[in-house]
Amino acid sequence: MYATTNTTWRMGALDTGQALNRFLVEVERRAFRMAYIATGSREDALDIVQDAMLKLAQNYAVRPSDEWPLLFQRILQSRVRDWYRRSKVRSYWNVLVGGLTGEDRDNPLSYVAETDAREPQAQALRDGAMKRLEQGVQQLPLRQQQAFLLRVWEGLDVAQTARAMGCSQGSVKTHFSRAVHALRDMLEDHWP
Amino acid sequence: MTDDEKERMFLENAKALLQDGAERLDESTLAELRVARTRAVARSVSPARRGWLWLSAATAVAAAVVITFSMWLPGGARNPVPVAGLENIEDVDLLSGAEEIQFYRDLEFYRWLDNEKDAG
Repeated sequence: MYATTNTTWRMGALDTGQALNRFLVEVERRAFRMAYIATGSREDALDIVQDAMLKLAQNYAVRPSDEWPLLFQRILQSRVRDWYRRSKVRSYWNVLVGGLTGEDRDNPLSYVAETDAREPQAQALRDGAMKRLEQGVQQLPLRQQQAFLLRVWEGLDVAQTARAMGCSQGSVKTHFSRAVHALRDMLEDHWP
Repeated sequence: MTDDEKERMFLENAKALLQDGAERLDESTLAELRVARTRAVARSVSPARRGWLWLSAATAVAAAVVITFSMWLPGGARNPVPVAGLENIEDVDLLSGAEEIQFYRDLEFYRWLDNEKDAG
């Protein structure tokens, strides 16, 4: 079952606007980080999250609130795929005209707040591990990224992940398994 | 430690690190997310109002279909479909006048009589 189903944004006595606000408060940070890992651009990630929020609010606010998490992820992942396709075309044309080749991604930690000064050494180790993880996930093909983040971070099961990604459950299992193996090979021996 | 246990630990560690990154976003990004959220919530429409909007839209579409269909059918207001031999409204009066019917029945006879006179 979806990890956040029982959390406080559930509708209950709240009206739709309040319930939607609570739901979006809960998911917006993860949504931004997911979009950021996929795009490598803060501005593009913000655009994608804003677009997904608007689409959910305009088209699906009337649906039962326990359907919002999956609907939101489906919209978000669809927007990420759209961005990916556009960026492929853009990068193709950039190569043709001798311009940028898509290597100018932002620093993965540039939008994370400053390190907590109370435990600087432990936090620095953690920052290093987080940076390596995010760089590792960024190196994965998009579908592996999506399967990994939806399964591990969002806590979706295979069927829910398949619906969010718009593919079969078999594909989800394959993408997830490849992602986990690749990341373990890249990171496991280097983590604190 | 088995490989399954190692994998489970790896995934738990990964989740914790990802969550840590999400919880430590800078103020500027958080402010932009807040603006996006506020804008989205403002666009959400209450279910009752959405229901009325759907009803209004459905009524408008149904009315448009009825009007279009009625104009397209024979006898529609704007482009009536012509009936063969009934191009003028006067023809209706001619054909519906009972006193004239006998005259039109005898018309063939008068035509024949006229031809006979010419031949004779």
